[in-house]
Amino acid sequence: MNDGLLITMLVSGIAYGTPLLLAGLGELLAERSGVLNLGVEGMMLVGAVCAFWASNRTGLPGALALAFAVLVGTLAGALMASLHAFAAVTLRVNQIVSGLALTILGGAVGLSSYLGQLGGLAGQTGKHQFRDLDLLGLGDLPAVGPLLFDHNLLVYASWALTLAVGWYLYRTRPGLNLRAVGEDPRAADAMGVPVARYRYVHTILGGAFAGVAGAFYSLVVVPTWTDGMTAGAGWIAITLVIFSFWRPGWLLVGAYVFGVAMSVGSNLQARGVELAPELFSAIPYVMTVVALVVASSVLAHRRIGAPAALGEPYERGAK
Amino acid sequence: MRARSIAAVTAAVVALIAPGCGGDADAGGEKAGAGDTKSSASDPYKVAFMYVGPLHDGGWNDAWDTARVKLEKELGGKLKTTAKAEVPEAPQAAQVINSLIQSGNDAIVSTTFGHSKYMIEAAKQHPDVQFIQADTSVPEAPNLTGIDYAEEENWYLAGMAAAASSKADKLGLVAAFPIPPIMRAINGFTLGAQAINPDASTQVVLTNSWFDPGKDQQATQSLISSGAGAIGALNSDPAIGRAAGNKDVPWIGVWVDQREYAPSSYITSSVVDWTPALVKLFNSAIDGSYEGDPHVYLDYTDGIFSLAPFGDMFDARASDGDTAKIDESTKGFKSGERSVFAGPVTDVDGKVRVPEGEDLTVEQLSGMDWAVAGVSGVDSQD
Repeated sequence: MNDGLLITMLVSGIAYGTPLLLAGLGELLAERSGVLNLGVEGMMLVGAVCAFWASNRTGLPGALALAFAVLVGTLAGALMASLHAFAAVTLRVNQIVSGLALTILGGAVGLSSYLGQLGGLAGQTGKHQFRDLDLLGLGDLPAVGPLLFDHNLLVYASWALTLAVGWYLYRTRPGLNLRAVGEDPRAADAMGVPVARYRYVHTILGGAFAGVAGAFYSLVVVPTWTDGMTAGAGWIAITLVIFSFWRPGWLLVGAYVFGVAMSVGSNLQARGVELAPELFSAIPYVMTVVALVVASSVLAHRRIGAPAALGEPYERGAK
Repeated sequence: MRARSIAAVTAAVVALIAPGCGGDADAGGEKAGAGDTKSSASDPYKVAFMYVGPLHDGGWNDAWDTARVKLEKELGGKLKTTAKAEVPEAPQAAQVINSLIQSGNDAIVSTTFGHSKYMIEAAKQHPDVQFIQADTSVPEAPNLTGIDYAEEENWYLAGMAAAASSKADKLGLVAAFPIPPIMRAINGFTLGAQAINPDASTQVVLTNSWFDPGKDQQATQSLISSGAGAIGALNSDPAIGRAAGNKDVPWIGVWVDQREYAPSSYITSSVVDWTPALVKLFNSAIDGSYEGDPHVYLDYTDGIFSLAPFGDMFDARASDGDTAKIDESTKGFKSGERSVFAGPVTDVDGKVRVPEGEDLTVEQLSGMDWAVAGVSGVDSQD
């Protein structure tokens, strides 16, 4: 039964949803602090290329090489995000413009491509890859085996991070402060919360998450580097944050729904369903548009979840 | 204040992007000597090769680029080549073609089907430049040669090897687009498999992209979980072989010997070497005997195809009878006595496409848009 269509689709949904979840968690943290970062796609690509470069160039043995590569990807994403944090928090520029600039900077004809060429990475076969771990030997259990116990380390990490972000937001003092900064920075400031510091930290943290999500593409799915290999996943992650009403739990569900949508094409084709492949390829993007329309029409009626100060620069003393 | 900051950031961003763009412009490969006009008789004949995607993709582009290097070596100082990678199948290709002509190339070779319309346009504008287009068959201009090749022959043999190594009747193929050369490969594979196992069928998954390792991996996993007993790769990145190897499912590589991607369950690769064909073509172009051939259809008799040495999984699973049958068919293709689509051939809808005793013409082959009985996943399109 573990080869049945439903299980197969759910398993591939988890595999393809994981980078969306990771990038989405990062964006969620940034947005909760009131900073909208549209640079996710660019940060992911730079994270992906740096992680791949690191994994292929380091002489470290397997597991260490992968750990090092993920670390490099994380730092690369964080570095990219710090540009946006500087522009958005210190310079107080329009966050949409700055975020878009970040995506252009990192994106498919920008920094990530340049780094890929510099390292001669295109077409190189990856030396290291995250493989599925059969956790506790339970991977062969019917249904729950492949769904819960047979994934790579980054999938397990994404579950832990989802729990951690949820716990942080709702159960800790800094989490409460973060939400206050995103809702009403003036009040938070009056309470003694360092608004600018919170925004910097969480924007950069968001970039770090995006970097890991990028590394997922170059180290897990297929260990390789291709220009623009994230193929719009960063944009889908931003959509998911809105669609999940800024809640980590819903983000996880949404990411997997999109993951299933991304893999539904080949799964149905392999089972003899004949439909134009272009149509299958379009499914996740069509879903993104639909999700945005639904979410924004719901949001228009009752502003559920959206941090009230999202996208607004905060200047102490300004009106 | 705010406007000034935005301007400052924009300027900074532009400054940061600029080097990236510059790097992209001379992507992949030596630059053709800029500035000089058409070469005189004593200068070497200059040929530029264009590729979609990276030069070393572990497959199609690698096969072409190996041939490019060998061609230059074989023709000694008479011919000089350049490689231009990452040329998209988009209007940008027209600009690349123009700049290659500007820098004095005598011939332009495009290795990808999607450049066809830009090549045709350029061929009409530059009658003194020779254009060679892979994967095409339309005689649009006298100075444009379409290179087509009988992929069906090599894939027929690969299909035999797949059926001999598979434990299931169902076989899987991962392909990009249902264009005629791919349809010929799919059909050849299926007919070859049926020559070993009459019940064999082929499930095709189309990824809608020439180079997308993520999709290829996904397609392979889907095929395996739907019960395919062997996987053939018509896309050439490592993803397909690796995904099959991870599940210990026998797999077949394409264009170059891809054994290293997943040796444990490797069967063979459908290998192509363009060198003999290119040497012949450019030799005649250089000595002036070339008369223009709108459509070259290369096959086993031209010496461009072979199967890579079989892997351990084939040796373990195939019977001596299977191996003998493969050898016999290989000989038949080499001598030109054997033809993949010799009738009777029936299509998926049960219609007889090639009656007993007949065969397809080169025109019919190069326009193939139908699938043989036993293939699913490719709608006989349009």
